Amino acid sequence: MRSYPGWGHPTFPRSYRLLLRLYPREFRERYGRDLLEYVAESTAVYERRSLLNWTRTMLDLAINGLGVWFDSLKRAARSMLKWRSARSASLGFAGPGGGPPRKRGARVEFALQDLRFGFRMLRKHPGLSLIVILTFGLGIGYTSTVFNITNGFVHKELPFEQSHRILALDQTDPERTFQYGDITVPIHDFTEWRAQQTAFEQLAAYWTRMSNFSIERGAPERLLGGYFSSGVFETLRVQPILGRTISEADEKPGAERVIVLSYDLWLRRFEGSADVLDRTVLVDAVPRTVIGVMPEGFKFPFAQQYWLPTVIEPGAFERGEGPRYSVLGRLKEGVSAEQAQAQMATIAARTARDFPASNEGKGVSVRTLRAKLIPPAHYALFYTMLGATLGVLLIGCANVANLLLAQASVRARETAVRSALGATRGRLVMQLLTEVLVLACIGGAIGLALGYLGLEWFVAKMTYVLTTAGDGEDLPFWIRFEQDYRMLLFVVGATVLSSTIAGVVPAFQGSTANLAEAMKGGGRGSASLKARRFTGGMVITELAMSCVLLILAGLMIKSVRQLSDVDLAFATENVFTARVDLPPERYPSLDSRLAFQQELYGKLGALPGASVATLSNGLPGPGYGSTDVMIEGQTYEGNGDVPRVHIGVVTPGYFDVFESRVLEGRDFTASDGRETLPVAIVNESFARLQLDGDAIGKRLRMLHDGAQWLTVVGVVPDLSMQMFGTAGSEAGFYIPMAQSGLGSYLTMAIRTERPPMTLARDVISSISSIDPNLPAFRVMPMTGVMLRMTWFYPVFSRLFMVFGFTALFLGAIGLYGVMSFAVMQRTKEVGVRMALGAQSWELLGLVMKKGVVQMVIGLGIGLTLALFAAGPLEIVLYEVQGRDLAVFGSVGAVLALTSLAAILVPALRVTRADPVSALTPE
Amino acid sequence: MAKRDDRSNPLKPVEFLVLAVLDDRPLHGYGIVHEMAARTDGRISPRPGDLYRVLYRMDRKGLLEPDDGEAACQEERRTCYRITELGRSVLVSEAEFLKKMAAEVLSRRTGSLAEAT
Repeated sequence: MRSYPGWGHPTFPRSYRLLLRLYPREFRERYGRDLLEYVAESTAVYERRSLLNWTRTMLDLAINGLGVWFDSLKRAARSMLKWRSARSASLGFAGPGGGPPRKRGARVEFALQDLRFGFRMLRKHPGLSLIVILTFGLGIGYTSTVFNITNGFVHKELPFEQSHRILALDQTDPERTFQYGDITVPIHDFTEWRAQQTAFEQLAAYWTRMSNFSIERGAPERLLGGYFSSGVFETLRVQPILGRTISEADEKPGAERVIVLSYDLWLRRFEGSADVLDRTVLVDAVPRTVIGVMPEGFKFPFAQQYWLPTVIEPGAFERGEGPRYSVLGRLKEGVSAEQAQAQMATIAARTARDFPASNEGKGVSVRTLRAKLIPPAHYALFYTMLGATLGVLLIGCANVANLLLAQASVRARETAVRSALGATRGRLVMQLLTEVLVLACIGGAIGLALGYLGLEWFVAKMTYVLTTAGDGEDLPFWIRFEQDYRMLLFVVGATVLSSTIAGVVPAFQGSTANLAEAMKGGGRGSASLKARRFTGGMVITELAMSCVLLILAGLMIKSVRQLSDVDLAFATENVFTARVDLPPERYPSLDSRLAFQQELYGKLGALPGASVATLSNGLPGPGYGSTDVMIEGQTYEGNGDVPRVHIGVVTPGYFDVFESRVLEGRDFTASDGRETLPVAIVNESFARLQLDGDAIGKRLRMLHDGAQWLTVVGVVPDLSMQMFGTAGSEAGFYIPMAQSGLGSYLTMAIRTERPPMTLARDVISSISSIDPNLPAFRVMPMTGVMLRMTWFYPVFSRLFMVFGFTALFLGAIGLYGVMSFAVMQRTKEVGVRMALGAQSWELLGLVMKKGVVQMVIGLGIGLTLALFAAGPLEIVLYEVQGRDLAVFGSVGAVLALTSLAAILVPALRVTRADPVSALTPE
Repeated sequence: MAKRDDRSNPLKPVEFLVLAVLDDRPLHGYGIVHEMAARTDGRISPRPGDLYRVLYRMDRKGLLEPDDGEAACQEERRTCYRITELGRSVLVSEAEFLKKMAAEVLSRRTGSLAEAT
């Protein structure tokens, strides 16, 4: 066999290459490349790169792909039959009467006949077939796109051995209900749990931090690291590919400083060299010896690039203080998660009794590591989307069923003849079902290709945002968009299911035809009650489905409109941003940090092209952290009663950089220092909610020990201190950086007249002129910061928009078809009534009544379902309620109008018909 | 149905044409279509999927086989096909069969024409 080096040739459109996967491997290996080259050549020759040509080529490839399998199947069946008849002849029980062997052979023959018949029908009714194929193709394509995305995000098991037996432990605290995320475990609790528990093989702890990583003489970079106690690697059951991992000795105070590298980091900075062990690297300027390299893909717990031992020394801290950890453990053989939970609860209760000051009321939560890393709230959005697309598919199935039903009544004559000639009912049903299946398979093949393309589009969008607009941050390790068997399985399942849904009623309906009836009746006007009920049910289902989908799409679209219309209170154009973190090892004292800040602040403001610069601990958009504050003169019942608001630490110039203004009072100035009056600037929400609108001169104090009273000197607009696009209060205040004890995490923002990124080089060199070991990171324009916050709105809304409009389109066509069919069935009745003297408007009312009733029921069900379906979507909606009246109202109105039109048009046609022709069969 | 032997089946028109074209010289897929279109005045030119499905089927029936030796094909790095002995004999018997059929049809026509005049 020849091998083809040019196999991934870019001139072959990806869609064709994907379809080639339909063919048997042997075929692909032998002809694949030639076939694609022929396609490419004929496209080039005829210069027909049109959609029509693409569709034709796709259909050609899909049909023949199935055809090749069909050919092989036929050959296999033939040789089997030959062998069988030869054998039964030699055994002496051959005979046309047929023992069991003959019967089974016949079944295979029948199936082949049905298949062949299916293909023949396809060629005979190309128009109908094309519509059915495209409906299936689009429906399955959408569904598998969303499934593939969901699959990448949430379906995956964590890539560890028996990962469901790895549990994550957190503290629970009924008082801290406001807490976003998990409550990590204090060091003392961890060491006690570790010593007392017997349910787990062992308990291990970790925490994470971004640090400055460098190799001697190399440029520093900012990387995410994991700080692991001993046992994390063992619990996950991951072995290093080089050297060793973190041992118990490494977590003791005074142990040698070591580091384990990720595969990516090892490749990137050490070219994958085997003598990396015992080399020295610098993490936050502290030298560490490389002891191991982890296998490719291991990035636990998020997207870590290296791991360090964490020193666990409970004796060094008072109880209730000290570091906190995330804790995990692997269940011992034979121990269940419930037993582990019970034991941990006992231990936690004992601790709470022994140390009420620090532990009263605190418990422990035990859940799978997967549930901790991928919180169930994440699923909701994806499942809503999956549900939405399944809705589109269902609408498509209903339409196909309707088309086939109409066709079945036309084909009643053929069916009747066949059954008169001795075809059994089962045989007729199977044949009709096979016809649908053939169409669905071709649709499924197109759907498979669309699903791949859709996933690629999504990943490209996402990667663009995360890498170009970001600073090369990696996706968490459990998100892996890769082709796997689940995608194929899903498409196969969807194909079989949808062909069954679409085919089963028409098949049974079509197979009951009565010969005499069919021959004389002209195949119309005699649909049974069952069929009418079915079409009625379909109208209602389609309407309800379209309604739900359109409302979900409408909510998303409205969110996007809100986002693009939103009048940001701050300017994002012409602002350069970057971040630098001061490692505590190198900048342990407040003085050293202040000195760095002041020097940097001075340099940034003096850069050529910079009009004003600021340092802060955050940016508008991503928002700021929160703190509890007391306001002077107010009384609070307990700690839970104290308002929790955002706090920003900024230098003078912050409000100028974002072209905001001070509404009342004054801005911070260079003279607000450690020796002067501690001051604060509050935002409008804070002033309104906590200070009754009268802010200047009021005093407030943070809750932690040693906090001073801060005097409010100014009021500014709300500048998105709450993370943009998320629910929560905007209320917050700012303090001058010079008066804060913080300042390890510095975000720079510089307003400039030039394209913002042209400042990058100067900013980086200013930083390294102060400290060459500090890397700047998240270097991007402010517009990039906002894009990172909002990228998925356009992406997801486009998905929903496509679903929604397809649903509306399919729904309207389906309604029209179903209504026409239903009304046509009453042609005779209308003719009789007309002949008996009924007025045409009376008849119109009569014919439309049923349709209108169905419409009202369908819309009612749809609107109700949408209320429930919108709930999970709310977390991603921006300033739109899940029960947005405008969206519900306009979708309802659009659907009502569409369906009224779909009812009215066929009704008019019937009632205007001439009674004579209505009563005469064709 | 089952008792029919694949090899003695009358050839499908497109299969016949493929064999007829390959009878001259080995060709690659695109060449086959070119030649076929030329010989039939452009009336028959299968789409790519159709063509390769037919080639695959005929290969498995032993009517033709890949020919890696052909210089022109090696140059273009495509697979060429050549007719097998079996293919040639099937082609000839099919051609004779068609000739007989064609002769019958035509003789009846000329006969009836003669009667009419």
